[in-house]
Amino acid sequence: MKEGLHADSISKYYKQQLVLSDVFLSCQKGEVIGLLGRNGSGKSTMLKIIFGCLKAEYKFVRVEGKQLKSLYDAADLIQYLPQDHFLPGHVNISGIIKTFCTKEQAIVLLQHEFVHPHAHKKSSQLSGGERRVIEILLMLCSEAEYLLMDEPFNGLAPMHIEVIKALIRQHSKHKGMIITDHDYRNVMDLSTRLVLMHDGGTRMIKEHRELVDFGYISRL
Amino acid sequence: MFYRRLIFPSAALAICLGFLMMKGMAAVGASFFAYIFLVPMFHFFIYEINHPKEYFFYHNMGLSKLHLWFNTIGWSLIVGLILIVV
Repeated sequence: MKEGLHADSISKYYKQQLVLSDVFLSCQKGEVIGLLGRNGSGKSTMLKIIFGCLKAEYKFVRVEGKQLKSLYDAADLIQYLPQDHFLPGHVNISGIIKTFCTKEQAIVLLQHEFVHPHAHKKSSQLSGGERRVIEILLMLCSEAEYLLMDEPFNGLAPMHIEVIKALIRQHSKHKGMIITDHDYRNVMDLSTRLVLMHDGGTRMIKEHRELVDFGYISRL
Repeated sequence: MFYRRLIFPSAALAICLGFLMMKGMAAVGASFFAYIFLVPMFHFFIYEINHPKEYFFYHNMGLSKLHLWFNTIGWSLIVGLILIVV
């Protein structure tokens, strides 16, 4: 049996409304899953449940044969990039990287062209785009085998988007990634497989035409 | 990193409160006593109210909210009580 990330039977209610109904999602190393869906379709909820920071009515998540029941179980296997900035604002970037990464990764990351000029600044002193780039680089350079990225392109300049896309492609050779973003063209460009959240469930998208059929976009 | 934001302001405010409300050695004891309650209070206002998104940084290091709260209350109690007893 293939190892990988398997999330199965995920059910979640929000205020007595069923948001996720017996949802299944899987990802293998080397895959980039593009998770699309309208606002409120449950994409972020789904990623948070898989990561373990949000409770579900029921879930079964297994990564590389290990069942994940808590955040602690997921620590070295999955990293989650939330849609909002999450870097601590009271510490400089260098301190954040040294805390988050291994010594070797920290050396590499601190020399990166997008990180080096800001190493001694606090994250609260950076622009939204600069912060986002550093957050994504932290995820990509981590030892985690699977990354869940919620709106990675949010607030990024086109030039940065191209650089980040190239880095995602490079790192996806040895990591599995699930990416969701309203910038669906970039998601489609990156992904090896597309999944649409629709009516509380997931649907595999084989042809882009299906996105129109399910009402996600009005035309291709 | 998480607790650096809590310890210094809690200690400073605890000392101020202790010396405003008591005199002599009683002020020192009152400061340690105040410290036990101020650390969780700062935790609540800084992380639950002002910067709730920063929890994700620690979640990515395998630390849940419950774990962080447990440590805040546990360590403030231990440090505060040890200082009071000593």
